Amino acid sequence: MITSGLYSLLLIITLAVQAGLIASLPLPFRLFPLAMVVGIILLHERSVVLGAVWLIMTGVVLEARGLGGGLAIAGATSALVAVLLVNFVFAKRSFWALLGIAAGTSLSFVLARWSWLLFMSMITDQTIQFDHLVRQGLTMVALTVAGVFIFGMYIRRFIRWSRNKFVSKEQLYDISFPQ
Amino acid sequence: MPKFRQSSEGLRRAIISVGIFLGVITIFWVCLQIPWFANIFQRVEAGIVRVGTGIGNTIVRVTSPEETTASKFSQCEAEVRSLAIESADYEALKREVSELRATLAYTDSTDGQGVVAQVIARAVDDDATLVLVDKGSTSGLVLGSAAVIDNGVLYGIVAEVRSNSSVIRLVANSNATVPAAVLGKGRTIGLVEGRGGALLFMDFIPQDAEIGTGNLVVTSGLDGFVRQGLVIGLVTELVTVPSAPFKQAYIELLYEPREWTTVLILPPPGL
Repeated sequence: MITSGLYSLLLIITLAVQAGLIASLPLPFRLFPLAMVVGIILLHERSVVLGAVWLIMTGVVLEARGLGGGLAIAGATSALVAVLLVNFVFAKRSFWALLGIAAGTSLSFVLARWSWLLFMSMITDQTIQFDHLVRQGLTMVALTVAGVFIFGMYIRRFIRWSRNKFVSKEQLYDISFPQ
Repeated sequence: MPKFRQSSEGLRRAIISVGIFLGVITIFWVCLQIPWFANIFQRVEAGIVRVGTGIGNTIVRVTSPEETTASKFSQCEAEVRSLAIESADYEALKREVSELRATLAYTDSTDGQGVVAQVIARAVDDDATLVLVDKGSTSGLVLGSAAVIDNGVLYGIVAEVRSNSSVIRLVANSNATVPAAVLGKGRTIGLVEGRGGALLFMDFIPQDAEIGTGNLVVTSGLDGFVRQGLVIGLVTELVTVPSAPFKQAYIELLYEPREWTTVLILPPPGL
């Protein structure tokens, strides 16, 4: 219970860092999806439910703040794909499974965002530079996987520390996604 | 994969965890509507943006080679920018004087009281062409106002206004359109559209207009929200199809949006 509250505060801090610090960096660093990286590791290491809610809320909060359209839909899609991947494809809790989930989740986010932009360009006069979008999207997927690879160990260590600190072993599996 | 406990107790705990998670975020969101809380949080966010911009500028400085042809070219570009801005000022002043002479009842509508705003967040994708600033309707911001940087360079248009914050859509955003004029041999009206990248696109330039690369593009003030004479960019390439009714041009921005953390919001002329 306490950790859920702490994780929501961590989400707020993560989003502030992503939209403030990371977005102010030059390309390609600007595209690093910090909140998604933390969400994927949370989903893999801590709780599928919390991780999925984290990914959904990442998109919802960013879109609610006016920092891009279609982010809520993309966040929800990536959360759904992440849950399916963690339960049916990369069922082992290995580091390589974590990388696989990161690749699949970020790719689904990018595809959902492209679909939304394509849809919006069809119903409005908005023009989209597809090659630009593809370049950005693929960079984002690569950065997500690289981010999980590089920072995964540290974030996992933090999550395990917080898990041992605030949650008993029994409680740990209770809040996982019920099949 | 851990073994799941398919008990109602497990489901109950999951619901409570999610409820607390969402509850804290909701409480935080509600608190952001309180001016003093929003002010504190926005100061923190503005600080984070400044740190990020500083790091970004350092990265660019360290990674860009010195004394090369490219760096010399950049210096020349900076000089062109400076001259272009001075030229825009000159043209605006000349026009202002001629209008003053034309009518005694002229009132200077271009000196509206601006509001200085700090960037507190940027969109991660979309080339960061959507930014959030710390001023909203309580500070007098209205939809469609121009956000200006440097010495009269158009940064973007206010696309969304809330009580304590506003969203600025940068000129480079693919949804942004600004009525513009090319300062060259004549005064041509066109529409500048963002393309998501570093280049803008100007459409609806009459075929008979004599324009060329290097011409300065400024706002025309046709929409009634953005004052005229704000610098948009330089013409880098012309697209001319003889059978087409209009010409098109590619416009290069005079600034890197990422480098700016303070903007001046100008109210629409007449307000």
